[in-house]
Amino acid sequence: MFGFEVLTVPLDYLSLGNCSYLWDGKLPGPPESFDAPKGIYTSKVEIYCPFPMGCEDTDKVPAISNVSVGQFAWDEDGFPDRASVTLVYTCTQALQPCQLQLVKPDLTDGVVLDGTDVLDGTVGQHSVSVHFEVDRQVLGNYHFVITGTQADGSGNRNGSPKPAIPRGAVQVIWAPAVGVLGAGVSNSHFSDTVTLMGATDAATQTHYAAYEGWPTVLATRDAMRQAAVVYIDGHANQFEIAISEHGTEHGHLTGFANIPDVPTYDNYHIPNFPFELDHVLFVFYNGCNSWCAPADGGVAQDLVSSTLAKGAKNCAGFQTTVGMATASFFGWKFFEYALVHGFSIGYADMAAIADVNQEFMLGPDGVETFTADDYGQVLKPARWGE
Amino acid sequence: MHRACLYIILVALLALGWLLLEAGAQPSLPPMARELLCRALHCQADELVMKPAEAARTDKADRFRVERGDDTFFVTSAATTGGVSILRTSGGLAATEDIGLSAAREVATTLFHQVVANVDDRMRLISQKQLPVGGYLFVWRQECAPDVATGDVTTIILDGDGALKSLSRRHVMRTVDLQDIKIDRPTALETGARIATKRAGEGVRVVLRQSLLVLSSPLTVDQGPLWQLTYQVGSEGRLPDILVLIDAMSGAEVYPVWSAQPGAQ
Repeated sequence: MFGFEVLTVPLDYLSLGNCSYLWDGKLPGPPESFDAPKGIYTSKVEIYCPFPMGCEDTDKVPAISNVSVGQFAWDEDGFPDRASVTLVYTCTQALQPCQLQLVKPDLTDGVVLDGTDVLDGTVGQHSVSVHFEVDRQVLGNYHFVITGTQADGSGNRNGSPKPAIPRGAVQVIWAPAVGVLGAGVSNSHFSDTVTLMGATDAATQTHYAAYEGWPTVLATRDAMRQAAVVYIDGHANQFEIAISEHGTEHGHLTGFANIPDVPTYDNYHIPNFPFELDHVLFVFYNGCNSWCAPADGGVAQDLVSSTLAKGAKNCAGFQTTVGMATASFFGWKFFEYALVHGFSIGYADMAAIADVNQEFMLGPDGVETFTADDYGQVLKPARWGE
Repeated sequence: MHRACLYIILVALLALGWLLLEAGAQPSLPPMARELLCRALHCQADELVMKPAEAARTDKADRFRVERGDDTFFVTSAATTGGVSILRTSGGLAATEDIGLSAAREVATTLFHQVVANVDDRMRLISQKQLPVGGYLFVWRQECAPDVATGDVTTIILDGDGALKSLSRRHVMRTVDLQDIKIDRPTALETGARIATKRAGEGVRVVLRQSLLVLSSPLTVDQGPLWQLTYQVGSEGRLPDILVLIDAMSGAEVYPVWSAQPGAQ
């Protein structure tokens, strides 16, 4: 589809009538044949007649070239369930119709919005803004495929227009990530961690947000509306995670059900969120320690359960009190293993625990209680595409 | 004489060429990491096939992917701190079988003696726990007195069925002798309390929760001796704790080597 040939199959002699050839999805070596990479392929049939006068024909014509996509942007009108790219292509023959097909990373059909799937098929170079739906749980390579049919087939053997050989381009879409650092939480690793999450990567223009200084729960809530990977490092105790200054009645994020939000206190409860969290892949509530009572510590269980109940695919936190220095160090290493090296949540957990031990010599100091709903989840493909 | 010199130069050049070829052929596992992995797996170095892992963005450790038969390992080696970590990434995340903590401890102890040369009575098992992810965690720390760690630490994580999942070891080659430490515990605690009180703010109570002298700490640039003091903050304990680090030779407050700013933790 990108214009280079991967396989030629000579069919030496074909008799009159219908003929077929089934490709087994293999490509030749060396050294051995192998499964073709996952993607979109097209075919072109060329026929040569061996008679003295000779003849040749093809089922498709090369009429589309120089296809590219760029200037990716999330659509500001809708939270990022839709985005746009600029599609550039050249028609070397007039095409009618000329259409755009969107194929999602899992190779199912995508949805092109606002009628932008109908393309200008006149001869020449074109540049068009394309709007399309983004499934935030299926992130990776979005394929833009242009198809068309000759407007005029009079030059062909039977006078009928032929289809153009489809051509396409790929836009890799990363999952938006958000990092929230609670006010007064001393975490020198936070900016490094957010960098690992891609939050400082402006190139993809995704809705990243890093709150440092004096964040609010309301801003955190709205960031969660947009994010797929969420890292909140706040003050935790048995009831809530505090985003604003700890030890006050303000700035609490909780999992309480049937309790109204209190905007004047910046207190919000996950069951009241006016949107689902089914676009969220992973949330890590990394709470500092709070020495309220012997049974205290860790991340409130209803915070985790309400996050999952809202549709998040995975949620994690500590089950006990954790020293602030070790907790932040753990978070930094955890995301490095999960997002850079591609470890699953469970492996990233074990690797980060070992690093904490080497650094602080304290035994695991609470980080060994890191608990996730799904340890097998892998974040890297979602963040980095393929 | 002249011919002998030429011969020596030729041999040296050939050796250099061979070394360059070897270096280009495949990344080499640092000796410290290679020894630990071979001891853990009971294998020879030539059984290990190395592939470079992508460089970490945030620290200076070297990382490798190593294969041995059907097993794959992710190896981290930090020459400056003497730390090596090995994570077995093949074989699935969690075993279906569970041998229990007691049996797991026996397996881990055997492995510990296998990988750590000259285990003496200073090596203390300071942590043994079942992990929520599955499997068991064991941590040995070398101590030369109560709450005085040399900086030598070994962490072993076993799968539920006793198979190795993670082996991490920081081996300290040389440390300051305990009797040469200039800042004694009372002085360190006095300095630490003053710093913690200042950081917590006026009128806020701080209580020492944990104190540890590490004779060679990776938290400092020069791997020197360090007092690690953790303070609980506030009478109700609703405020985050404070970690204070004091150079055990000079008495100066120091900050972790990865710390971006003074006071950050």
